[in-house]
Amino acid sequence: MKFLRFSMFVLGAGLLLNSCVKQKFDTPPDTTKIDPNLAVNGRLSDLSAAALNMLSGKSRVLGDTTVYGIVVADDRSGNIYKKIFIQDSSGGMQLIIDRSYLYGDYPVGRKVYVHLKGLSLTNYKGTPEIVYSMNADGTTNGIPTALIGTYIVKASYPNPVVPYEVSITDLYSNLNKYVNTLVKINNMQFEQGSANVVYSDPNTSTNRTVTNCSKTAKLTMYNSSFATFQPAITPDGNGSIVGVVSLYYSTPQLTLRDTADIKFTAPRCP
Amino acid sequence: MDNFYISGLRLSLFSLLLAGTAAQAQPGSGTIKGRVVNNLTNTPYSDVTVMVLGKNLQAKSSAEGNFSIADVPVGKQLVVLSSYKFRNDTIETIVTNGTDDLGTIYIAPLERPADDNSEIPTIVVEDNIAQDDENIGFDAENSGAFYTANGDEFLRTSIFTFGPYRFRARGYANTDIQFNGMPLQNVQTGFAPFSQLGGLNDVLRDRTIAYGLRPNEFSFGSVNGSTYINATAANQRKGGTVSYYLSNRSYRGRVMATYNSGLMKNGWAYSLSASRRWAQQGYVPGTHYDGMSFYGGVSKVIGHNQFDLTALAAPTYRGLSYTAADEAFALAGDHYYNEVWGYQNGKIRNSRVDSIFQPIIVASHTYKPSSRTRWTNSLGYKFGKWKRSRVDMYNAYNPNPTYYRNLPSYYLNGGVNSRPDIAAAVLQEYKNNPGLLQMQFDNMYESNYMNTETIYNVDGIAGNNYTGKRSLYVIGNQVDDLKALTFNSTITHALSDKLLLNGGLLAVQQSDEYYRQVADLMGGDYYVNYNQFAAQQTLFNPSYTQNNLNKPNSIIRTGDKYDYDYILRTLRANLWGQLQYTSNRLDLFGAAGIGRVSFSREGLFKNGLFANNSFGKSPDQSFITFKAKGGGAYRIDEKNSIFAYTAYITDAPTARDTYVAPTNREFTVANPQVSKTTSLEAGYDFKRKGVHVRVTGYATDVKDATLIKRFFNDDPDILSFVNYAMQHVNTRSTGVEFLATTRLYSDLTATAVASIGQSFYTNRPTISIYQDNIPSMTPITHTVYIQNYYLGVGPQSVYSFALRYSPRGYWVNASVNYFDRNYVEINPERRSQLAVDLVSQLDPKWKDILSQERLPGAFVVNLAGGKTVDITRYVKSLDRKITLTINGNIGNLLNNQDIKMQGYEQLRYDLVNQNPYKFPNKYGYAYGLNYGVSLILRF
Repeated sequence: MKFLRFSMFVLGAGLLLNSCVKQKFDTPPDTTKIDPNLAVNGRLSDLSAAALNMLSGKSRVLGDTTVYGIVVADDRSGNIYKKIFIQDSSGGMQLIIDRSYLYGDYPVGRKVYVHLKGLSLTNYKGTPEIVYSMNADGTTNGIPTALIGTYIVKASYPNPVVPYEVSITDLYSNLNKYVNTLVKINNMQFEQGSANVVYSDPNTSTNRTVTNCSKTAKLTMYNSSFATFQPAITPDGNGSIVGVVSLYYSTPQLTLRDTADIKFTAPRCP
Repeated sequence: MDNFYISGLRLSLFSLLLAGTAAQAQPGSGTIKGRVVNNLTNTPYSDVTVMVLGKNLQAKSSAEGNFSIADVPVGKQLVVLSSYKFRNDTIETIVTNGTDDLGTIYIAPLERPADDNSEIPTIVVEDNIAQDDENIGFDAENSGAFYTANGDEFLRTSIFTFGPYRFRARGYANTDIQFNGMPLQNVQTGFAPFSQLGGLNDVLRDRTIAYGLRPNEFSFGSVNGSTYINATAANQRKGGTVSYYLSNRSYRGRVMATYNSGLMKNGWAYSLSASRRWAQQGYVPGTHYDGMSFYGGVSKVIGHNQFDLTALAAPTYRGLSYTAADEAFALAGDHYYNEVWGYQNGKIRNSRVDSIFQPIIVASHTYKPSSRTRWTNSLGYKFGKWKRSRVDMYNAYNPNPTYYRNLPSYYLNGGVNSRPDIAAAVLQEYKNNPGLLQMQFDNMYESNYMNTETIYNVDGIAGNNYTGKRSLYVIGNQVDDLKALTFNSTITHALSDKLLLNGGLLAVQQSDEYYRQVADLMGGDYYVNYNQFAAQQTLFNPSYTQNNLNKPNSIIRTGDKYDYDYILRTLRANLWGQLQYTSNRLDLFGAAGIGRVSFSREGLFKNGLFANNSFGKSPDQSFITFKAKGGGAYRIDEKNSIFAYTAYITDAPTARDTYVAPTNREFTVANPQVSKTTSLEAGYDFKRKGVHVRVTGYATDVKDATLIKRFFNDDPDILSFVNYAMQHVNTRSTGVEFLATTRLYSDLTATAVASIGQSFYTNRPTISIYQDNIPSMTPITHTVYIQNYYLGVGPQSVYSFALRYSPRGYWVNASVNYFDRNYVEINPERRSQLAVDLVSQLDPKWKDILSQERLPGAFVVNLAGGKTVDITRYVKSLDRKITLTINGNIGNLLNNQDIKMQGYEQLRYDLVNQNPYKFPNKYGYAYGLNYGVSLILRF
């Protein structure tokens, strides 16, 4: 009897082992190798041209068009905020998105498809942008966080990102072509007053100026006070600079992705 | 067997009443013996106090229900049997010079067999709803002030009926609880982690509760009373139990098996119990449950000595649920919406997993040189880890699906331009794609896969660079690695038949290492031990971003520590004494205690922001505490009695409420000090056969309490953990408790219970705000105007009416219950001058900012029942009794899924726009219809 009782206990204890709570997880497959190959029926250069033909502050609701682009500039350093720059073989465009830390999903080199239907194309002080919609006061709203997935389709990563190599004069004479694209300009340096200083004042975003050796052409560089490189010191050498181009009416501006975009390693022109 | 169970004078009220009628003594003496048995289940009653009235003679029944009292004077004697398991019974007998065998005494159990008690507390004690860590919810440890009720209907209703709705008796937070003499409260938090006792119901049945300020024999107690669990092997009912339990609550199933030897002739007893509880998904979506429990005990009785060794462990892994705002519940269309889970590779994963493995070992020795004296010494050790996980991120978007910037309301409350059309489009998107309301694990993995980065000068070694996939998101564990050694000595000695002396010495040494640890790199190769929130400050000093300057830029992999790492050591010692006087009409007692608490912090990381105040050992903080209580009961006649008790207690602040931010620095609040509690309770008690009425009033004032609330402030101008330290907080809890139970008919009993209280702040404390990402230690200090706001302590008005029908062999219980006056926990900062600066008092916003939300009241109907079958009756060949019991209960029979049982104001407040709805209140809902059915085989 004692044995019977004990064996009933053991039987009960054995029942305990009928494990059924599964909490081991597979690692999800790396989907960044997949390109859904959506049908593309528009070009960024056409959108850009349309926006440049509009007055600043005007916008146009877009139709049933799908474009693609490779992300050429993201918000990793904080110098760019709530937007990404994409580029296809024809040109570039800014996507204004109402979310921070976009680089987690759309890092430089990622291909995206954009369904434009329902979005707006706008001319913001001379620069073409794709936004969600305009407010009554003329400001715009980026694509709301919850809606990003309905407009932007993530595709493969990484893809090569090669900036247009341009001379500064070439840039000035083809602003409409290079707007919102990543460009590389050789033989540049910071102007006196812009060299050997912090990239931006800590409290207000700051413009610095780069120039060619002959000082015949200058380019304004816009640096955000929120950029992680804000306290870094601008180099005083000469060399190449990479950045995305935007327009302030008809004046070009350059925006850095990070300080690695500046390679002023050669001696400064006198 | 000798009378080793003889305890001190634990006199029940009823038996004292009868003491005056004791018979005249005659020369000579004899022995009384007998056995006490449950008339329904035929199982023995253990631990029954058997007393010869008017004589200082008593004994306790053994695990087999046997008792024996020697040296009983010859003549007519009244023998009183008392236990919380049944109503006191008195037997009249004539004692002769030999042995007077009373035979087997069958007594009906009180209200219900002990079995059905054991099911519901798992909800009460295992609170699955996590608050923001930001709000430092210790609620998991906090709810259910007592582990379970004993015979008192008021306590039983408080715990089983009101408890699941977050009712807290008298608004108090914690209690005093001992397990075989070992105190279970965590000395660093003050809370007893009941969940660690889960799944061992069979062996933890024997509990003694002293509610409120009443005296007890094992400790000074707290204002909330105290609980003693006697779970020694010798105290377990002989025989085995196998049970299966099925439920739709936090777990779906439980198997439990227990075998107890009972005290054997050789003086040994052993007991084993094991159980497993599981749910792939509990009542709330995404909550899984996986708990194992083990218990082993051995006892040896040698003469007047009893030695006990007991060990228990309950490794438990649970997926938690989370509170949410109204908007999220509406988007999900579900009041049990739980944002913390998501799909990973098509399988549900919960980001917030609570895993605990903290075994307890207790060795105790009880010495009973005579029936008048008992001396118990217990040495306890508890150790192990408690981990709670969540997603951590570095420089990445907040992965919480209901992050306010994602939701439709952001486009109404967000900024300058209110855009109802965008809000509507976002709302539509959530309707079309409800998956957006859950965690996007696959997305986080994808972000990690793409994020290749190089870390320079790893571990501070120049040129030591590392390139790989740096995780933007990881799952991190908040770990408490605890080691606690306790020593408790208590003595009970009857000075005379009217005077009982109790006392004891308690010492606890506890050390906890707290740290964060990477549990899952989620597809990345590494994480870096940086403080992203200090990054804003790097202009001033690039080392600020280092969480550990002793190992800068360190690469963190699975299992490695990051963020913070420190040890808190606490040493607590208490000495107490108590004198109880009992006579026919009057009971009096007085107790006093003195204690010392000291603690210190040792930082194991040298935090970049607090380089000189984070690493190494801090000076000791020490506090002397005093306690005194006393009171008495007076019996007007056999039915009516009155009682009154009072206490004055000082308590040291906990380390968490002393160190401003123990995670990263050793600074304390200014002049930490003890809190002072004054408590009073008084009442009237009426007892007659089948009728019991009690009304109790209570009032408790706490002065000079310190309270630190911590949360992450996502304001772009702050972006930091913020510590709100409130000092000199005064609160009051006052109210009335009511119990009436009466037998309406022979097998039909009606019980009414109510508790109507008010717990509220009584002053305007000073708040000091310390940010974690600024090296400065000068806080912003101001007054918060919170006088007369209620504390968020659950429903403060609760009512229950129950009918119980219990003919022989089965029982049914139905109750109608009402909960009301449940106030949300306030954010004190919303009651500051700044919060309403420039807001006109005529503006409706004024009221919206300052008013405290009261959650709607709710009715709930519960049903329970049970039946025990004696298998022996059908299978004659069995030589021992085997019974099968089935118990079931249904909570919230009407399936009301709209009961908000918990609410709090977010600690973040929109100071810029003074919009109280930008960061709305968060809530948790009570379960709809829930059930538990158990099948218990006893052999």
